[in-house]
Amino acid sequence: MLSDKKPCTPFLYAVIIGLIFVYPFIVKDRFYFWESMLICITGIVAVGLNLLTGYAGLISLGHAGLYAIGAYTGALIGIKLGLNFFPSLLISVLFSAGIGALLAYPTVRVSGVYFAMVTIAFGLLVENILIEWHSLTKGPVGIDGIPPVKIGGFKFTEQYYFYLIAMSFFASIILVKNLIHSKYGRSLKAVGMSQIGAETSGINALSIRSLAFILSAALTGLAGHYFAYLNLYLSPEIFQFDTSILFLVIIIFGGLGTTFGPIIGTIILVVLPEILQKFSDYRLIVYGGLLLVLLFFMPRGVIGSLNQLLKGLRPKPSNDEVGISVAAGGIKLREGLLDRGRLMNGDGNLVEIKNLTKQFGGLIAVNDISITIRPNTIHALIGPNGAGKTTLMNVISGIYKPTKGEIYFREGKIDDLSQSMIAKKGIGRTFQTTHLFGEMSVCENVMAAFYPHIQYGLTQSFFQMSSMRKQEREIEEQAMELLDFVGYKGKSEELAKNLPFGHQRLVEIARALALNPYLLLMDEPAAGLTVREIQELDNLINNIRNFGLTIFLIEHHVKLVMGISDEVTVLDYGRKICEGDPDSVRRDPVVIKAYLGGTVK
Amino acid sequence: MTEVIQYLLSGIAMGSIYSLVALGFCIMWATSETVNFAQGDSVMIGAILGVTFCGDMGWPIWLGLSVIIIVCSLFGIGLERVAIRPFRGISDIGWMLSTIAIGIIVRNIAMVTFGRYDRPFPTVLVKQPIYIGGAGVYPQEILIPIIALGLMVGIEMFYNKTKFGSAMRAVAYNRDAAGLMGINVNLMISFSYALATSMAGIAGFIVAPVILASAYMGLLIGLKGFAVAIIGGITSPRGTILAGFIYGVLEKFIAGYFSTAAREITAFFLVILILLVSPRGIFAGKTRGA
Repeated sequence: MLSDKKPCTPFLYAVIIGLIFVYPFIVKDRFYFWESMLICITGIVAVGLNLLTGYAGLISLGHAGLYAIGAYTGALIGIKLGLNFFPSLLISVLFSAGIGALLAYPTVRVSGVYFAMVTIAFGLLVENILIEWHSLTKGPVGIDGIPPVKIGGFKFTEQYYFYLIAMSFFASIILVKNLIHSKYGRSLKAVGMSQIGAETSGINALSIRSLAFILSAALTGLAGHYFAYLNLYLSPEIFQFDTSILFLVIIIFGGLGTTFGPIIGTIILVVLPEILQKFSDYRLIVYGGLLLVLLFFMPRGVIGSLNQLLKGLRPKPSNDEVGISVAAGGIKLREGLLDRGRLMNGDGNLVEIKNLTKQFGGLIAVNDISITIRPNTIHALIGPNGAGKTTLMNVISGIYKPTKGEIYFREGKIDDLSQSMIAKKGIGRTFQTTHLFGEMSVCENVMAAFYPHIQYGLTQSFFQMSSMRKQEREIEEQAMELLDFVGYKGKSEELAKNLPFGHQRLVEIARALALNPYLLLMDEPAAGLTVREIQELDNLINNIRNFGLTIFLIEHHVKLVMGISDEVTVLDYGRKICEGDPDSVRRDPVVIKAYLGGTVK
Repeated sequence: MTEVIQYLLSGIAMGSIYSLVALGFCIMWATSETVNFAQGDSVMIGAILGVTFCGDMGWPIWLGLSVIIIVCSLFGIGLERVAIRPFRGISDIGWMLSTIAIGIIVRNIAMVTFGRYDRPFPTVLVKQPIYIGGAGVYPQEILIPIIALGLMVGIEMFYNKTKFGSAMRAVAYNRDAAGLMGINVNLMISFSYALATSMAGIAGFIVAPVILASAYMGLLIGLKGFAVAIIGGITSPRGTILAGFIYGVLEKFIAGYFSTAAREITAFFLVILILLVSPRGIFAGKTRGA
């Protein structure tokens, strides 16, 4: 149950629901019962925040603001409009999600401290609006007179309110867990680990982060609403900066990015203040000290550390002796894998780069370059260091926007598209230093890039519907097939960061191929590989080409380049100095001069 | 008109405090790419030690200020060692929360020892207001920007004229390369923390006579200083200083014409808006180094 991988069976769900049912009969003490409800409510916030901070890696220091919005909206609608608990609940959630969407717009574009700043500002903004807007919120005095929870004529006693809250907490855990085990969760984690890797896998980082932010806001708003009807009194003091910190501490304590971390964290941190009461004036000093100790000795939190411990007990998979071996041809892949290149019709050019210039301040990295890439060829881009090769490749894949000039891909203009759009159009990319998702397994890395091709939506993910599970299984099989195709023979469940360098490169190639691309851009694929590995790479590139794909690669390894390329373009100081088949390029005096110096005769 | 001058002068005084605090953020960021969320508490330390030493115990100013600089530097060095270095480059959330934890500890130690109430710092410079164009300001409020600007010029000179300053700029420019050149990167980061916290301590000392000193005073000043550093562009010290003055003046006007809560609402709304328009701050990337 501690591991995220094992599926929770319906039996386990039934047990938990049963426990929730009997809980009010076991815990009779009113104070503890009330605390239990507070734990469930705070737990819902923690689940939402964990989605954002734990999985997407965005650290929010302003969730108290969203919590306040849910609480005040719910309470005020109940008091001023006399609306019933459930309709107002819907409004609270939608309103919080809406605010989340508005806030997502400025925040998801930034990360790290900038994201933290926007969220701090948001939290303080809400707090001060609550203080200032007397006519609505009664300012610092706070509001009471929140009506009791009713549905029709049925009045919710504490017992039934507990059922509602506990079931919501349970449901939020399951739904978020399900979401994490879908293409959305995979993309969310991917974006958090390497934005550039995610974008080149066809994942739009902004929209996936916005999704996380909005869902997180909705859950926090829901919790706020429940809190209003539990506490029956609200004041701005409850929703200060410290509360936002508390939420963060909870998910850290439980374990960032774990399914069950928020439960443990919430229980400990809601109960802790009661224990610390006996330190009276010193309680916050002790609290701060505990936080420091935790961060220092248990940065993965309770659940994270337990998972680590369990992992340590299992035998460690070893990839050391596993080599790379690429089949020598005659490979068949299932439908949907690497078939777009072959199915392509027409005999036009695949890529046309027209008078492309890329300037960084005073430096012209790429200067008025035009290149045509013909379909189903291997086209190499060579040149001395600093010639502008990688810059050119970055412009093609959308990482940079060109200063001047145009790029056409399959007759469509692509130079103004985003990275993920370009990837979706069918341009895969690998990097000189790999941009894999380090904390994800090898298989997941490849599966992540199927994102643009996956049909199922949010609802199917939330409920892990059978159609969704079927697609996931297919994608997993396809990912394994691609890994086999590129010659990766290691363990597919190993974390990408633990792989030796050559294997990382193969996995990145497999990931790029998962897009089912027409064109594969490779930036120095042979760099850092052993002689034997380069031989395998040579085979692999040929195999890829045999599937109808076109390959555009930057490479320094002359033997490899001259052996496999149909066309070679040479750059020097940002300009194209030569182009042609390998033999003519090799003999070209301008090229010899660029590489070896000396004068041209 | 009197009001305008009044708000302008007090705004510049408060703005200098924000600038000093925010400049500290820039200095720490430049060497380590981390932020110290207990920076506001250095202001608090400066303020309450000022009240205790120079107010209660009647020490001369120079002695009180020297002790404050020493205490704040040690605080900065200790904080960097305990709360930053173990997490730097490994986990952002680690140093964010560890510095917040240090802030909570320091704030509450201050509350236990200094008391839970706001206390004044009565110096000769806040006994009698002087009148400029009909607006009454304390001489202290005039002194604050002068001291602040003096400090900033001093830091600029330190960065540009001394060998140690060059080393710090080198670390800011490229940590790895600076390390390879034989510069002790950890020492530079330590020093930048000491510099930033002692600047905040001085800010607390000079502002305490104008606003009251209390254990919790640093929280909001620190967050505002951080906001100023971010909207000014944390990589641009001059932009940050300018943003600090603008922020201080702006909030005095809003507080004067509307209310204190309206002041925070407008300010933080603007912060979000500015980051929406210019995600790296207004002046980022235009200047480098201090």
